[in-house]
Amino acid sequence: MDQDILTTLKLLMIGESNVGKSSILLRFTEDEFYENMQSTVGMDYKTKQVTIDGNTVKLAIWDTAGQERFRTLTPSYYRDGQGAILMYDVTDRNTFIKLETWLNELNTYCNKTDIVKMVVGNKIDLPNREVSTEEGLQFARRHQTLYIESSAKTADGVKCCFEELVQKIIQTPGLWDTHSLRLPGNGNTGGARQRIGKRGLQLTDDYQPQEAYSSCYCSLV
Amino acid sequence: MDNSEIEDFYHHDFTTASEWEVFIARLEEIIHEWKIPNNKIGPYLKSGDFIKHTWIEAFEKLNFADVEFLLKHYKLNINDEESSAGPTEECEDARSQCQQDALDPLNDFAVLAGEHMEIARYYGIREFLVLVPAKQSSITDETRIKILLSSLNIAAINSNCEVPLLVQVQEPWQRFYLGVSIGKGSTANFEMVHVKKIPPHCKHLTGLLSLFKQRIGAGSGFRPDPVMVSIRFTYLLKDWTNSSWTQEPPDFDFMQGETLGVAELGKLPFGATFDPVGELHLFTTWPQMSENVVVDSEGFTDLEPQLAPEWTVQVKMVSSSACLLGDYLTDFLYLCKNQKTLVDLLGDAASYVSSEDQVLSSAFNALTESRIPTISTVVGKAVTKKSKNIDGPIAEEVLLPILYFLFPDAEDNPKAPYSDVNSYGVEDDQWRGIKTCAVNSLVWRLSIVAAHCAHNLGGASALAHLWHEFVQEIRFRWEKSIPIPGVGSGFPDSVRTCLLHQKLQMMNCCIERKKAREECILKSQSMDIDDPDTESEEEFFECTSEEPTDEEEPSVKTVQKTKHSLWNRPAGRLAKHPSLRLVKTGEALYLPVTQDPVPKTEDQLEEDAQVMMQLGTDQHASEMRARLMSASLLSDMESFKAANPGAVLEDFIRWYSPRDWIEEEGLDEWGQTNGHLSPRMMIPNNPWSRAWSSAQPVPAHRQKRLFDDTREAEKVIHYLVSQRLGQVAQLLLPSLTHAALYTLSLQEQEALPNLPDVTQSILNKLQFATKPIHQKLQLYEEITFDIEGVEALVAQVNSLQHKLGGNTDSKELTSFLVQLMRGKEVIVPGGSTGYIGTRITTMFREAQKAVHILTMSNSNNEMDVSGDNKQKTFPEPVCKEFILRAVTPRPSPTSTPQPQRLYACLKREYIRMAGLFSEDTIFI
Repeated sequence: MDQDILTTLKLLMIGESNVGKSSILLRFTEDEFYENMQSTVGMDYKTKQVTIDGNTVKLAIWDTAGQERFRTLTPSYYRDGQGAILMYDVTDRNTFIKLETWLNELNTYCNKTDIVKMVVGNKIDLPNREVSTEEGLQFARRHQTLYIESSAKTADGVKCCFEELVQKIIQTPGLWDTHSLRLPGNGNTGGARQRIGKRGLQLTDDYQPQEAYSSCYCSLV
Repeated sequence: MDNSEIEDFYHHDFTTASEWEVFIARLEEIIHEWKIPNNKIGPYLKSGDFIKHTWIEAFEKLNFADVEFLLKHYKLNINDEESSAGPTEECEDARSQCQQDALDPLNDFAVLAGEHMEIARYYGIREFLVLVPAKQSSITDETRIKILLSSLNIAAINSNCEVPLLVQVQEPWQRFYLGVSIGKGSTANFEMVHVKKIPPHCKHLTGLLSLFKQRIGAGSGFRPDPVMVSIRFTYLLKDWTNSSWTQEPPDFDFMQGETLGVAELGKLPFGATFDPVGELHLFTTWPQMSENVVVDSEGFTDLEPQLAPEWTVQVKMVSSSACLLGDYLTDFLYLCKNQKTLVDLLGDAASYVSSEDQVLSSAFNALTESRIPTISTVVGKAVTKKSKNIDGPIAEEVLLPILYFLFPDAEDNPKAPYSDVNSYGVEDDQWRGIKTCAVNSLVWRLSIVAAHCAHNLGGASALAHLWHEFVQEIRFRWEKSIPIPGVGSGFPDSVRTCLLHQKLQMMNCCIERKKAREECILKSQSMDIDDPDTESEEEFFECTSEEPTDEEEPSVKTVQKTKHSLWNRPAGRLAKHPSLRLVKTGEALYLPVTQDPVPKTEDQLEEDAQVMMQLGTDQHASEMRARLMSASLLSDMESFKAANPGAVLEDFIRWYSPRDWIEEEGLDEWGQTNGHLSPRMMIPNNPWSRAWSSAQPVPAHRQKRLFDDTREAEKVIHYLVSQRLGQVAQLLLPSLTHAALYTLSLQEQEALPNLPDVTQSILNKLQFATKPIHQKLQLYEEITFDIEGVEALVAQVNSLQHKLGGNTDSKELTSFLVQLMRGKEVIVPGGSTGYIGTRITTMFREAQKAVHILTMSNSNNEMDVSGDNKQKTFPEPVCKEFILRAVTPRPSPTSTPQPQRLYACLKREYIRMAGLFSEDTIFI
């Protein structure tokens, strides 16, 4: 089955403690939910295969602890992340405000500049909501991220959250495949589907030689 | 005749058709397929059209018996918009296209690249069909040539094709074409002569003119109008006596010790090692003029190059110009594949000796020795190394300046101290995104020096030698606790810097902690004497668990601690929490001093991540991960317990994970809000409660170190020393390539206005290449190739500018250079009298002088004999071309005047004449 996997994508889950990162992840990977779930120590790691638009990708998901003290530990696992889920608790405004900090942290420690980010407002099943959808959307727009609301308890938006993120990553040239697609002139939409179609080509790790020299030369003289 | 009825007119019998007929039929078929007979006469050509526009090509295969031929079609592609307004209507039917073009002087001497394109030059035509034998075979047999020509004739007539039909005969290299064009009541024959030996009467215009007139006037007796002539002489300049432009490679042999300047060491060389401009062709042209205004005979000639009304120039570059920077990079890339170890290259003395005893002793040395190293320590060290028989190829007097350049702080008056090396990665930094190191920092300098070593000082073994010395110095600094200069401060930056830089940052972290530890010991010793009853020792929280000196400490402590009972004395307090009190005792909550976070380099992070991933994804694996990750949690808990005697998990959680503390109504007995742990923290046996129950109250400085600087430092040194040479080179490759690109970016050349853009595009590639920990050599090969290419271009322009412009720097010159660089033939502004023209004349004169001196010394005695010693500015032209045109009635004086044209090209090794001679086919 392995040869059917298009690629492995590394996703990160970050956000304040107790907003439900591990719960969402558990709902996604095992379709289980516990009212009370152990607080993650440091970080945890899960995998899952998903098929999107006929392409099977393996997701390697790094679930991090939200406690401030762990921030000296966890950013080291950010390297090479292709997608990040920034989560907050819609019933706690403070977790939403802190997203800004998490975003900065991500930008500082992630070596991929074009990492795809998704803001997730969790716990929408709870009654005492403090952060509205509009605010969430506005934040996402301002920081150019995806946005979704979810509930691990009711499983609302969970599958969607991961699928949209993966779809976006696959459509972003240069994030998951070879460098060749990142050259200027490749719009980051449109061509994506075709690219997925001829995945056999894209899977090779080899750098596709460009006619760089000639282009260099031509543009110079 | 038999009586068979021939009623069916469409019934033909071709069964007896000969091979020849089949061949002709096929020719006609192709001509029809290409719709050539429908061609309309195009507009007159403009000057330069032959070069400006593209030529369309097409071909078809055909056979004559079993010999394969290709019929090719070439046509100048002129835009339609222009043709609409052409003067075609008036002169319709007068002449065929090829005859019209043959008389048109505006595209004389056009040099066209491409197979068979010389036909356009020979006959001046814009469209033609050419029949060539496939497989490069030659047709030398006279009969065959005749048959082919006849075939073309018949095909042309049958298909109404006015476009010239040519056939290539003789050896392919001779570019020998014959052919015919039929139409508009006229036949034009394409003829050619190509001989090695030049008949004496054909060497000058006079002879050629009489030859031409004889040919076109044959049998007519009619005195034609004056013949129009166009002339071009080509002069070749290869010898750049005084105007060559090269870059000397940095010379390390000359520089002795102190004269080896920082300027040379810190820079990569740039430029060509020999002149990148191979040849300069000067074309002196006399366009269309009447035969009687110019004389060119054996005795006298008007055709002096300086008098030519048109000067054009073309340059040919050396195909593979050797450039210094490119060579440096290529050499270095080659070393990246070297599998030899340092011991292989330098002998056993370079082997890694675990310096344990040195470490032990150095701990004490460091206390007594001065912090600032003196030259003697470094120099002395170099000497001891010599005595250890590291026999590297780099001479001592070269090595020392290099080491001082890398470690300027070892000198009292550093020649090249490091500036702020932390500016790296600033957002507006031009080099943002390249994962190497700061410009002119230690790793930067090291990679440049390494390239010098690899290229100039002895290749692989010199690099090994340098690396050995470098690692020795790093080890020395670790032992003496002297920070490494020129390295970014703080934790290894695995996002923005290369692995080698991270390793050195790690080393500095180790050195810093070691120093702090040592100072801590010093201080606690002194405190023991001065003031035993302060709490200030708690500011020193560095852990010292594994040092031999550690043993001393508890004894020191016990002296102080006699007043307190050991188990409840608070220890390792950092600060009092502003509001919180312990739930059980009501005492103020103190924030503990905790262990510093653990610095890690990128490869270690990678390893960690691998370990975490390999545990799997099940429940058990998650628990294992939690356990692995809980070391720092446990350490914090222990520090917390030590700082807050009587604290419970609730207290810890309120500090550590406030969101797991659920506040309730009401106040407790100490006046703070009631609350309880979150449900998840109350799960029985959860990792937090488990860790809490196992945590002992131990202040950070007495805990087991999370970060063992001694071990980590030794690991780094071991890493550095155990690299194979190729790995060493790969560690340096990113920063070297960066430095090379930096060198490139400093080049300024007005004639290459896109240089910054090209540099930027290479930079984008480099950003990508430097991302991974391990370098993909293929990417660097491509980048090197790019840099080499650009370097060669810059060298070419520089050389041209030097030759043609001297010191002047005008717009005119710049645009002239830009065009020259495109490889085209460019008009010299102002001709022979303009500034550039004068420069060119001077260059020719210099070259002639040099030749003259050479021949004089070779044949001294003949000099006087020859008499004709007057030195000429220009050499003999390498090529003389003439185009003669006339319109005369042929074949008889009563015929319509017909266009005639002769192209002659005289070179040292042959003469070629290509004639287009037309005859009236109606009024014969």
